[in-house]
Amino acid sequence: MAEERSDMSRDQLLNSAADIAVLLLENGGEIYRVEDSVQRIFRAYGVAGCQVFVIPSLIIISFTDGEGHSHSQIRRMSAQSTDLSRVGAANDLCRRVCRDCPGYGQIQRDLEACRRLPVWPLWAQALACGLVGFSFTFIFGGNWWDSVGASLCGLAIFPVRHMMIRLRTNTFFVHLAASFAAAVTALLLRFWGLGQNLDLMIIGALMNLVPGLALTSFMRDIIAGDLLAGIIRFIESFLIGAAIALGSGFALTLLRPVLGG
Amino acid sequence: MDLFRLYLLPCLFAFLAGAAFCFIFNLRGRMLVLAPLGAAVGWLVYLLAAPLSGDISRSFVATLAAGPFSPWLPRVCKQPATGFILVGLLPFVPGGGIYYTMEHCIAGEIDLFITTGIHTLGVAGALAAGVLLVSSFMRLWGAARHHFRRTLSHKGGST
Repeated sequence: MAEERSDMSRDQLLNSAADIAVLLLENGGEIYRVEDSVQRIFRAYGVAGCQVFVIPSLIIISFTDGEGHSHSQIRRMSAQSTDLSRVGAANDLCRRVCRDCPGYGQIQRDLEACRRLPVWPLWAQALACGLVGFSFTFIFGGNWWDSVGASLCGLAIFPVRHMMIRLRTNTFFVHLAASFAAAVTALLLRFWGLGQNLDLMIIGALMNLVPGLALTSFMRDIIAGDLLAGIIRFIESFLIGAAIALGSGFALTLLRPVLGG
Repeated sequence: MDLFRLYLLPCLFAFLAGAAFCFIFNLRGRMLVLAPLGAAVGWLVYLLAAPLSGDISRSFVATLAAGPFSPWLPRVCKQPATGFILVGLLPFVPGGGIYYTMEHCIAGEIDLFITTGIHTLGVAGALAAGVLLVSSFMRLWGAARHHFRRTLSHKGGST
């Protein structure tokens, strides 16, 4: 163990810690989890006084080694997605690293394995979007036909959202377009006579898009003392809410005169 | 029959919705069953809390009910709490409020637009306040356990 520990240079340690931090943050981990993980890794390798600063769009790690050299690394985060099994895997990896202090190559191999973790196939995700629409419309008081209509609207959301994310559009526009697609589908379905309650159909489908992660984690960030990160997430959830409202609003304004409803 | 229609069926669908979200958030294995449980329990409490006035306080109570799952299940499953909290609380995110606010805005009903908008913010605030209470309590509980275990083991070692 001791030899392995020594063959990790300070820069390699910094790189590994930053990689793990990026993996945690870009898949939806909380700010305090990222900061805590990095500090634990540095402590496990016997480096004291490591400084970490994380907000949803940036990671800064810095420390000074025994000879008085300062090392630091900045990682700019672009897009965030929510992949909780990767957060779990990165969390496990961090624990393993703190326990066994593996070498650089081993950590990089484990990181690659985390990045290669399987995601559910696209058809399963699309069906899940439909099921979300179906369930929520039913819960909110729609009848069976409304629920079936909402599941079709949910199915319409998925390809639009997927394509928009593929094209690297910003979060605001992704949600605007997806919500527009859901509302258009609902209007068309009602025009063709499927489902009576237009509002319930659209709401059920829109539950696919609501800013769940941002809304639940902004308070957790604020409690943990990360006020800046909390405010950023709060504004993010507010913007996503506005985008959803705008998207379905455009659809209703444009198509109601044509399709009625 | 009424019990089934009014309580059991909505909770079943809350569970299904939570399970569907697990596919979208890429949760696997036992999490597919355990994480949606929080949503189902939360929704049951939301329905049972109907006597409480207004759905802001109902959402708050339901959040508190769905929350206590989060300290225990992550230890059992060796998974971060993020997934449990996220899936458990999603049914209470005010998607309907966002929609109706927009609809009143389009229809030009400014009074209703403002009222519904503030109400939506209120529901989101209730959710955040619930998360605040549950997470603070979790942290307190963890710190207290750590503290007492250390003092106990310290005493055990010295005697």
